[in-house]
Amino acid sequence: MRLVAFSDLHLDAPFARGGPALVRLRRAALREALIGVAQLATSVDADAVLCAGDLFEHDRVSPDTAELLRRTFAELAPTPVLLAPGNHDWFGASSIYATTAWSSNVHVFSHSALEPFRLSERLVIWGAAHQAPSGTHGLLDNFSVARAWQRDADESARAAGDLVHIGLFHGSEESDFTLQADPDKVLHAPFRSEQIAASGLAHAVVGHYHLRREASTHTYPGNPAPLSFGERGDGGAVVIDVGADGSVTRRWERICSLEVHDLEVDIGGLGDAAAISDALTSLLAGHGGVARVTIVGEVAPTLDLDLALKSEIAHGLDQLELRTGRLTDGYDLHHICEEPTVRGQFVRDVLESDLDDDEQRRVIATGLRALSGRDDLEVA
Amino acid sequence: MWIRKVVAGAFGALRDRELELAPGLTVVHGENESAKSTWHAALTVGLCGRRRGAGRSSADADFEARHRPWDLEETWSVGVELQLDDGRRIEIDRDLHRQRSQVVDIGLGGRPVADDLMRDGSPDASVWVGLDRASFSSTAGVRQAEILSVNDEPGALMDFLGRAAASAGGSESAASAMERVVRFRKENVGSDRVNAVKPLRIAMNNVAAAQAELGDARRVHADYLAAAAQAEQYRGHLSQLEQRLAAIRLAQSALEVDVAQVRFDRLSEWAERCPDNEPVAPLSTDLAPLLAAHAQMKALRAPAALDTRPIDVIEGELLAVPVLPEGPMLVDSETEASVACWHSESAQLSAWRSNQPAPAVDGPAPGDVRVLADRIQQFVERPTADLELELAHLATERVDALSAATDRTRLRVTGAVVSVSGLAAVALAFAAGLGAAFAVLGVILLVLGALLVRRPAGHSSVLMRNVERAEAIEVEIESRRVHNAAVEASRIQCFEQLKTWGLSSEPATAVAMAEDQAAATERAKRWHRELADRAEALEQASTLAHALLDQYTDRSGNPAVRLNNAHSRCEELRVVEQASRASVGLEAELARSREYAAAHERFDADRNAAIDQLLAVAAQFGLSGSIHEVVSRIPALLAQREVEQADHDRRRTDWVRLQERLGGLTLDEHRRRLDVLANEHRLAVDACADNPVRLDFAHDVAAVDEAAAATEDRLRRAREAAATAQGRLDQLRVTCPDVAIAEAVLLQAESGLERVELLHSTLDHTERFLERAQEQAHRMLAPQLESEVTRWMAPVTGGRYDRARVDPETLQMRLRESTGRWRDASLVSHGTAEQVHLVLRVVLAKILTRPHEQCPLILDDPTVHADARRKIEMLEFLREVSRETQVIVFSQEAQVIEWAAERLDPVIDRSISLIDGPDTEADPVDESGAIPLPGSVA
Repeated sequence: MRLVAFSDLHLDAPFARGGPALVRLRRAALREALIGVAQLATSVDADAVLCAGDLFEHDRVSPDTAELLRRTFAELAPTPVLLAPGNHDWFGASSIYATTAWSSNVHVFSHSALEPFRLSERLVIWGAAHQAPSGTHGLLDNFSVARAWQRDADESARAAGDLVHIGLFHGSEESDFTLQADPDKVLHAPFRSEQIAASGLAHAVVGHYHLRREASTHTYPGNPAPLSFGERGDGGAVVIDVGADGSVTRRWERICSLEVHDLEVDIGGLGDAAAISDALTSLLAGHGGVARVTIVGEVAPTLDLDLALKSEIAHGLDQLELRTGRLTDGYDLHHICEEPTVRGQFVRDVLESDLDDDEQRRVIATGLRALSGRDDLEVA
Repeated sequence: MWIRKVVAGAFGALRDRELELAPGLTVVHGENESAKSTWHAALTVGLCGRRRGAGRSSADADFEARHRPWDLEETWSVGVELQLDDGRRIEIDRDLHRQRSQVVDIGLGGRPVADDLMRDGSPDASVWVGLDRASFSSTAGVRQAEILSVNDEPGALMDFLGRAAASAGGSESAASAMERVVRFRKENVGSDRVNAVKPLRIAMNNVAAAQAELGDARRVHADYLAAAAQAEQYRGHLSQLEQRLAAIRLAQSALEVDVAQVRFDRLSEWAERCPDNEPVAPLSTDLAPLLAAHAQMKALRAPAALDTRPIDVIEGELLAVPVLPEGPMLVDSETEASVACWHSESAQLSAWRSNQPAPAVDGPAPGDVRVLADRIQQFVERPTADLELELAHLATERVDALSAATDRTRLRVTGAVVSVSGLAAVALAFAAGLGAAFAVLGVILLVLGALLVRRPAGHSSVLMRNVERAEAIEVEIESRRVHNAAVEASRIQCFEQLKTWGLSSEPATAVAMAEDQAAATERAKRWHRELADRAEALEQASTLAHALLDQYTDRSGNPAVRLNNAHSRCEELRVVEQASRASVGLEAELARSREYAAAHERFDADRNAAIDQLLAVAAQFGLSGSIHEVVSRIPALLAQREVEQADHDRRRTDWVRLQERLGGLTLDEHRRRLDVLANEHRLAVDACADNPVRLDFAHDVAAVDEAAAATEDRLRRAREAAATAQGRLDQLRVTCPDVAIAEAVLLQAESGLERVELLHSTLDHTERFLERAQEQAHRMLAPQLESEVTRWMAPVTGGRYDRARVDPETLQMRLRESTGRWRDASLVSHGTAEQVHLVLRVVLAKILTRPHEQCPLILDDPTVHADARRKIEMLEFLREVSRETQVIVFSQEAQVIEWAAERLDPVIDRSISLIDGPDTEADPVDESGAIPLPGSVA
């Protein structure tokens, strides 16, 4: 059996700290990604499409997103589309999972306990739904395929041991949590990888972590496009071939064309805005999509770092965000501190103050600029 | 630290030149254009270097334009050799073109030592003394223009002091810097008051608006989700009701099949009892035509008999009645009046004819005769006797006038002669000198002659008028004679005319005769006109009378005769009319007799027709014979037919009932319908196989029908509710705002506010720290300045000022005069201000220099504008200073050169001519680089 699995598309989610233009850009890209999943499923002749949650964001989902999902999945008919709601698209009475007139090939797992979906004579997909944005218990806790199969399956079905069982849900594998390097991530529906085999599942397709994970017991497809700068965005749709013995082979396919770059430029030694502009232009050459450039390094005292220059260098990019990082000003503060002048006293006082380092840097640069008669007193 | 040597490899116009400097005071002198400023710049850049990096300021560009060798493309170099206070000798070589510098410790075999000197990409040796290239330039490098500036601006001294205190000679004092911060904050942050318009308020407003927008968006989005859930709930409810209704319909279907089966069974039973077709009534059953014909015959009635005579008798009597002739039976009054009028007009005409006047006479019109009479009487002759008498008198006067004219001619000749004589006498008196008396005589004669010549000509004019009058009288006399002849001729002509008319020659009589003739003529004409009028009136009356009489008689005779005839005729007609009135009664009687006869004839015809009709109808029912026989057999026939009809009615009732139960269908059609219902029910059962609804009253028809009605009502209401919910959902789908966009907008607004608030915080901190630093630095600098300036003030001012005082808050400096009076340093004379500025520069260089370090002072023509006395005082001051720190003075002044020649210590000082080279022996410094103490030189 061939499955196409994806997760964490987060349709309608804003791009973290992005403006309206970036929201629209990312929305369009993610919608294209959804269509890309459908095209992939068709092209690889998938037996089913699986989504492991966070397909959209409940609090932001727009009516046309619901219609897009309905139409896209309907066009896949009769290929089954199995949807396991996550913490961002949790299942409830007001969820578009519940209020959309899905085509008959779409099956939404709506219970908080894993339930079976007989995909074929030999393959059963066990799925569950988050029913709230938080507080979902571990879906594998106290779960046993054999026990649940006995309870849910009809009498004519085969015995559980004769079938291949695949899990599909949204949850946090505890040992993978530290690998994700996302400080904003919270454990939802936690589980341990050993619970998968112990429960009788041959494999699990899981959502929540945005970095893709190709573990022996489970697969995190990862998010097809980053939700914020800093995410690798190496996820996509996974083509999973399930063997008769429950073994899986996986192949990731990129489905989102939106490029997101998180870059850094050191402007140390660059004396003027033109040199910085040149450096940024060189850095961004050949890049498309969305880019964030963090400016670091030592800023020459005479330089007025203007972050508004991005329009001049954003050629070829859909969106460019400039920010300052670990900037230091090119003042010889040690030397200035030795001066028996107001300037020396000022720098000494600021450095001895309880202001944080960045605030100290801005105050010192502002004061020194004012003392040298400059009007560009806003320090980046 | 002091500078031992500066080497200009290629700097400005300098090529491979060097200056050996003294550790004390070095005076470098030369004329204008001798490269003093170039050496000054070479010294500074050799010591401090230039900022290295991308981009360059305008100052950098200006420096390069001034000092880069114009004739060398890739060569621009300068170097210095320094002697540090710790004994090290440092050599700095700067390749300004390639922006590379090499700093080596000569004592250590040329080991690089530049690491801790790097400032903005190149080594800055001023760092060793605690300065940098900016502060060195502002304090230790004293340019001529800076000293001059204190003369141009009273506050320049204090301004310099403030700037020096703030940043070792930067461009701003601490106060100015704080003002700049405040001003920047006012423009770029502003207040957070509600009505403020600066960035902080704008950013706060943006956040508030974005928050409100997001709140609205989330609320509407939640409404949308709730509406979707509600719509789904209604759909679920609707689905349940539809399932229930489907179950009820299924039950109804089952019941309907049962009912249909029962009905079909009954119909089958009925059909077996009833004929296949509708029973036909017997032909004789309908006796209505027979009864109708009988009734019609019996209804006929004969007309009532009348008491009248036979028609022929009445018609005979009518033929004997005379016929009434036509025409009027009385003469009307109008005809009578017209004949009377004719009589009257005839009598009047006869009377008029009897009064005929005399016949008319033809004669002239009285007016014409009157004209002739007036003309005759108006002819008057004009007499000529008076004129002839006057003419004779005029002839006498003419003779007298002719005599007087001869006398006047004579006098004029005499006057002329006298005048000529006088003129001659005067001429002679003057020409011949005959004397005055002769001349006077001449003049008198001359005047007298002139008077004679000028005497008036009165008699001549009288004569002329006399002649003219006589001529006029003669013309008048002739005119009157012609007039009188014409009058006479006319009068004769008038009398001739009167005679022609036969009238009297006497004008009045002739007029009277003419008037009589005219009156007679008028009377005759009037009588004839009246006669014609009366004849016409008679004719009209005759015509009218005849016309009216035409209706009575023929036209024979005059109107009077005809009137008599008319009266006779009318009398005859009245008699005949009386006789013809008897025919009216006979005619009425005749009409009644004829009407009765016609009615009786119609009755006979109707009766015969009714009998024929009855017989014909009766024949249809098998009755024959005479009319009486037929009528007698009708009751029996009626009784027989009633029995047959009752049997037919019973059979037809059964048939009708069957048809009613069949409802317009045949029994086969009922069978097929039953089959259809049963089949549909089977399909419905299949369709409802998954329907979970089960009815426990499925066999109760009433309960099922009641449940169907109730469920349909609930379903209708549920559909309405679902449609309403769906409508609201559809509307919300259209209007549902984009929450993600609203969040992004808020994020942007918050980011903007965060930026402004961060700027606000930074500026607040900056201002606070600047204020505190200013206070502390001034408090620290003030006593040092006060002490150092006081130390040097008396020597440099020649004792005019001996003490300084510095306000620790404002750094305002006051100087004490030798008289003990304190003066504001900004208000001292120009020359003193220059001296004070020089002292301040030296003092500040010392204060700002790192403790125990000596900073070289480089001064460009510092005394150029000072008078001779102050010049010496300033040079002496510098000489004293040079005993503690190296001083290099560039100058072009002869007095300075002379002073240097006299006052410089050849051991530690040096005077260098840029034209001739060193004036004093070089290298007074030992190899260790130690500077001799000032005291030791003396």
